[in-house]
Amino acid sequence: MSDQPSKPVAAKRKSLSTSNLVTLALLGLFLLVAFGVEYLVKPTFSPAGLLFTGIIMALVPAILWLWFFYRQDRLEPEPKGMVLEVFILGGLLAGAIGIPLLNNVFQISTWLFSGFWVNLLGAILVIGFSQEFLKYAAVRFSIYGSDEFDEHTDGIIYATAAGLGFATVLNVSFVVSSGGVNLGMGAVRIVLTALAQASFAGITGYFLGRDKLDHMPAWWVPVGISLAAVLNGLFNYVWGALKRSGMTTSGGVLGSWGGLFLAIVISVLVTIILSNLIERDIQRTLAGQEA
Amino acid sequence: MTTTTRSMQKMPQSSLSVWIVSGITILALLLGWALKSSVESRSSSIESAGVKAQAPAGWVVQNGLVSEPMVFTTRDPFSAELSYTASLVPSTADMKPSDLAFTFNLQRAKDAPLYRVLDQGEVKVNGKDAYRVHYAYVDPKDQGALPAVVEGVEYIFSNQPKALVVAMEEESSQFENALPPFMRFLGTVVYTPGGN
Repeated sequence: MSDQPSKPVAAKRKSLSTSNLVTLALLGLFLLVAFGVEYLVKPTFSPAGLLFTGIIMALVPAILWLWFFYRQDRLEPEPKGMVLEVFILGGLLAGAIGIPLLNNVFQISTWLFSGFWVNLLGAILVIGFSQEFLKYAAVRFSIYGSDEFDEHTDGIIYATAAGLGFATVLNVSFVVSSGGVNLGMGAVRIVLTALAQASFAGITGYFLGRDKLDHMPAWWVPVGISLAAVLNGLFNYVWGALKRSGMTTSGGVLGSWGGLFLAIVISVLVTIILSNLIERDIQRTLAGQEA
Repeated sequence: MTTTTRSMQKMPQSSLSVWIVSGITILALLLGWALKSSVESRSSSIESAGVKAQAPAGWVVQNGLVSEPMVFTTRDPFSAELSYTASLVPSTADMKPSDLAFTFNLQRAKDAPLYRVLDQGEVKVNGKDAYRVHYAYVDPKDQGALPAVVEGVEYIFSNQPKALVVAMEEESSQFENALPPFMRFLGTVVYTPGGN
């Protein structure tokens, strides 16, 4: 009897691994196409074409990453409509508050890159906390009170959806403001920004999930958001070196390729940790069912 | 729905958590604002040909007569276009700042693609009379890159024998953000005719 649930679970796990590989392969294909278009076609864009390209370039990786995280919740997938709503809410908060706050109120481009400590502290205090709070708000004040939010994993799934919506708007803004040049490295940036925003939000989501279901103390979620904000700030710090150097040449505190490498390491590590947390929750749920 | 489902009646503590999260975020943003203010108040002195100014710290400065009539230029190392310049232009008693502005506009119209004067007129800067020109042109950039619209603003102060011209240029999309720091810079510019 006890062996019976193991077979479908093992099959689902195998299917998940295949799905993850397909998602990663599609992301690789997306990057190849972007580099191919840049070097073979050398496109120039009209304003409308640029906006269209920006939306497509931002949406494709976001949808692929959304699928990647969504598929992790293999026991009881959340309603797609609700995940989509939180995704849109994350994007709206980025466009309405996140981007104007950083660009117009804090005007970070005029002072953030004036030294190591200023860059690091500014990235954590201003970028990290503002972005993570907005992604937290997208979940906390929408789906958190719903009956659908009934597993630890749900916090991660909804928060990563909010993070990906947030990243999509950031990326559209990036493509439009950069004039569509450097499509190849721009695509790398878009894929990585989407993963980073999703994974940092996923940390907050994990803390939210535990908070709702395990009756954690009041300091629990603030600790989670602070952790996500620090990681977000670190990511932006190492990533900033790449952005400042125009994504093509070396430069900055860490050098653009060093910055790219560290940004990838931070994002991928957080994603692996989140995947393990989801897997642990699934195993715990299955153990409870079997008992 | 699963064994992890629990009661959701825990709102008072959850509300406290929301308040703590909001408080921490506001505190972080206030600290960020203090950091921004401290960076913006940092500056380095420039002095050349009798013109003194406090440029933003970390900017690249070229002083000495870089190219006539420019006295110095200081440039943000992280921006493609943002620069402040100070120039000393020969002037006579009967020459009004608007006459100099006319000459500058004419020259830029020859040199800069799609040059446009957006507005111009007399203003006061720290109690001194000046003539302000706000203009724009297209920077064609290198091959393979999209051209950029550059906006500029210059303040002409009539002095004899030389008029002082202080200007800022920045990409159009960043111009509004760049204006307040430039106005702070402008407030620090002092010209002493006959100085070194």
